[in-house]
Amino acid sequence: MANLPLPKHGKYFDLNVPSDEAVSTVSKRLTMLVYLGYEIVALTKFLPTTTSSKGKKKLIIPDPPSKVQLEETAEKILKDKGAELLQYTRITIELAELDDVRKVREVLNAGVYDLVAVLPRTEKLFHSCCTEYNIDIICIDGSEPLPYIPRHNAIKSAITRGLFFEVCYAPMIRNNTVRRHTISNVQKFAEFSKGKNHIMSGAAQIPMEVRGPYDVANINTLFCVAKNIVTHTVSKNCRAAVVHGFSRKTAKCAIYVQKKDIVTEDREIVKGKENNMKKLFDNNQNSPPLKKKKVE
Amino acid sequence: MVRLKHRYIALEVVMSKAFLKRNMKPKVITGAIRMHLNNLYGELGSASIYPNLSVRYLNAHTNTIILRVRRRFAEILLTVLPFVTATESTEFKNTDHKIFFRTLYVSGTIRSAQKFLIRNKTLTQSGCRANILALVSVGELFLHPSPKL
Repeated sequence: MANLPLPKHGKYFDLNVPSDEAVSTVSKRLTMLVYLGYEIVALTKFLPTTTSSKGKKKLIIPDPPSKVQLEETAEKILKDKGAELLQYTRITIELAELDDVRKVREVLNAGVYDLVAVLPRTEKLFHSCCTEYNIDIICIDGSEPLPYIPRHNAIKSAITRGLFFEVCYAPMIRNNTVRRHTISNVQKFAEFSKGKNHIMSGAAQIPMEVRGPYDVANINTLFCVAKNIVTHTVSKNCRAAVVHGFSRKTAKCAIYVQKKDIVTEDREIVKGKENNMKKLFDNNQNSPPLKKKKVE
Repeated sequence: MVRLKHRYIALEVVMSKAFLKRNMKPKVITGAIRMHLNNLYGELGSASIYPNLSVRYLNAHTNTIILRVRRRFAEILLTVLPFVTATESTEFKNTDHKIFFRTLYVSGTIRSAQKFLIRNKTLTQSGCRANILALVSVGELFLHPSPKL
């Protein structure tokens, strides 16, 4: 369990850093996040709905964003702390029509993204997201009042399956009407979920819209979430969402294969990715042959 | 005997342009908080909290502030602080001059808030052992063009 590529406990997460733009803008946002104390980040790509035009177009799923190189200031801050910035990849798919469901299937088949998030716009799609699809996060949008009424059954089944409801705080800071809509939308969810399985993330477009983890957790008191659970939305629940995304790469959540770190004779540690058993032990000529020769 | 109980909130102000430093005064900061209190909580919120809010310590070099609120309103104030973006005066109506507050510590006495700031100097920008921040002016690192909305 110790060497799994999962984040440790007690860190702060920001699971929505838009990465649709150039790398330099993204790295500026990351320096601000690192300075404020976040250590784990997910770079997102957004797939909007396509209005059905003549004939079925071929679906092009965007490539997952590659790991962003941090600026000097961020690297120095991390070095002082002795910490690392983990970067995951995430895709947000907007579901407005039944046609968009095949996008979800294709993304899951490709298996390139660490986290899969969905933004449902109708009641049927929301219900099927909560009960059927193998996704991680359901986004609660603030641009309009909720077009559907979240049912108690759907939310309960989502929580038991391990799905998470995500709220973005940066649009609330930009715009007054979005603030009102998100508050009313999330309160409807919080009536049934009581703040369980909620995630706060920032879709910040400029570095000055990012807020520290403690401040972000305090926004949850506006959504009528109990004050003792409020910090979970930034740390504990986010980690559970990442683990849920990781479980898709395993075999039935029970088996996961990875190469081991090895300590050589010179007391050097060869990390798993570079580990190649043959190269390490070729020098030793006295070692027995790997295959037994047939006795004739 | 009736004793008035308070909460002391230690904040760091992160600013986006260097020349805002000369405008770091208590009135400017409480004015900014009052504007956003009015936006979020309306007349009731701003009228009940604003007279009980004061700046007890301000340091323009390290950008740290210690605010004092009545204990009843501490939670409400903490929910407003993430939304504070710009100050009220006419110079800052341009969206480029943004600030935001970062809460560091909440305590019942001013002494423990002060002790926290002394112990944890490395949390703030000027105290960072990454000393590049002390040499380059704070705002230039976070300069950006205003977003197209």
